[in-house]
Amino acid sequence: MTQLTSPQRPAVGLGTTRHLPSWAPYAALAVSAAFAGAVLALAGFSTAGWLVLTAVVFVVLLVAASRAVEGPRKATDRFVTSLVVGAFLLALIPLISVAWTVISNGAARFDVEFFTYSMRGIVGEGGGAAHAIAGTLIITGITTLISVPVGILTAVYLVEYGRGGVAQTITFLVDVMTGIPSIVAGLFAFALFTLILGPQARLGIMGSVALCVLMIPVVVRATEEILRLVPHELREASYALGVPKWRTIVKVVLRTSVAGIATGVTLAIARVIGETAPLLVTVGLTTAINYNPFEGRMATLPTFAWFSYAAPSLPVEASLDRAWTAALVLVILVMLFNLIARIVSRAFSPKTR
Amino acid sequence: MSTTTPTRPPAATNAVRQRPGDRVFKGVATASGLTILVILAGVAAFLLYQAFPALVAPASDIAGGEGFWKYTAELVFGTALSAALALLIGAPLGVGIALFITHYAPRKLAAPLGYVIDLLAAIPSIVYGLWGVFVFAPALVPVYAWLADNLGWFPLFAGPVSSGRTMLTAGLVLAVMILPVITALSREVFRQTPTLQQEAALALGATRWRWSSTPSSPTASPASWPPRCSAWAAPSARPWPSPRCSRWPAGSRST
Repeated sequence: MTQLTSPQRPAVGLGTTRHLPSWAPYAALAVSAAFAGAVLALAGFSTAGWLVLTAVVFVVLLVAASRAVEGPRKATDRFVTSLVVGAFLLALIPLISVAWTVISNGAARFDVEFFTYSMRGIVGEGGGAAHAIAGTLIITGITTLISVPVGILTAVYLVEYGRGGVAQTITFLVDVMTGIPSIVAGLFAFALFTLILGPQARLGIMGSVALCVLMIPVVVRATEEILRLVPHELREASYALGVPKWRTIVKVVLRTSVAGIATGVTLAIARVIGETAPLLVTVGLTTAINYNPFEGRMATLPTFAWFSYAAPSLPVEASLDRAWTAALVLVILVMLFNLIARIVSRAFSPKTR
Repeated sequence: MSTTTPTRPPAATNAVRQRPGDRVFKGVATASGLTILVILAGVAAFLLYQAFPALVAPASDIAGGEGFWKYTAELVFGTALSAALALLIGAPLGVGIALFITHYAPRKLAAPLGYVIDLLAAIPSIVYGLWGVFVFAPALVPVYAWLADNLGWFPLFAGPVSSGRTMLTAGLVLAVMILPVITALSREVFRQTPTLQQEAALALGATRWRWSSTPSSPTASPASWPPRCSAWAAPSARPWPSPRCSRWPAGSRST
């Protein structure tokens, strides 16, 4: 009996698997970096080439070592891990570059004048985007005022009332609408208003209608998804107390999901605030502040940035600086809306405790 | 006596349905739903109405003089090519990032990373465009020059290199633009994988690769396509997971 438990007996199963030490990946990285540096020192050094070569040598080295020590199964695991981490690092480069470029280039004109002056009568340096900021806020505001009620009520119809063919058709069409390219929405609004008002029509409200086509399906989708999460027990409890259906929807279903709806709406605003193409065809651009969306052209931040780049006034640098700062303001607005979405969803969510 | 009591309940429910508030609210909700139909019909009608002259115009009137279809074919090809390039590059990278965030990254890092990716998905397209023109295209010129010098025998990379503003650059910029979208959607899909199945796989001794690929992919695979397709349809698309996508894996939970 005692022989069976003797310690000399080789262990079976997990005990036989051998592992690379935990420092092995770092060692492989150091070796491959040195190797790549040495090779490139002979062939002419470049940072990008060095990074690429290091990555390739590292993967080959690590996988080979792992295959020799740990077996093919672990080697595949290490290979995929390096690929996933590599994909992540690779994707981080352009994203960081975008953020850094916008911040560093936009900071040059991120001053009081940019927020208080329009471009009216300004030639060359100076000037600001007060007109564009006002235009963006007005047009986005009107878009939100139209899209949010329509979107939320459509979602209510789909979840609470809609049965059969009509509801299915609307669901399908919302899908279709989500895929409409923004320029098509712009051309639709352009065609609609020029048919009524003549070919020269350029109004802020046209831009709002175009953006509504883009925003409504997004609001419907977000709201629908949230409304479907509301437990049926809540509705049934309300009906049992004799509350009419519409009051149940307003006071129970929408109240329960208001946090999620607010988040969805805020994100939808962030989505349409940066649209360029539809505003380019419907609203045009001006240099002066125009607060009236029913009369005349309006400037918006995306079109302002686009025109400052595409048709710069001399000196070109001043125009480009304005374009970058407009882009930075736009990014800040988007982040602000994301932040508001988070705060709102915290503040409005029903207290469970 | 006995005839009146049992037959009343249906009438009572009818009375509930007759309330004016209900009728108004239902009417408003239905009207909103129908607005969608009207808007889409309007979009289709106006586009057709405005495009019709070009469709039936004689070939000589269209720019290039070879007719409408010939003229648009080149534009369609350019659009399809840049979108395909973007998808080819962006889809694997985006899924890779999502895998990293859900399965590989340390838990403390995962949440902020996900938030940052969501933020990036909302960055306006004009910002990406400016970045592409001023930073990315110039940075790619030496790469293209190197490709032309060393891989010039391969027709795709043949020179001469003039500027960085090529179709490949457009595809790469689009890929960068759709990256956060694909990542956000795939992350949502990966998150739906039943935790129990994953833990079971780990308990059976699966490596991390088998863990992240085997139990999650049958659940995720039907759903990981719609995000890619929708990211293709609208490169500046939606910064949050589309409900349609997140609903799919729930249906295939029987796997």
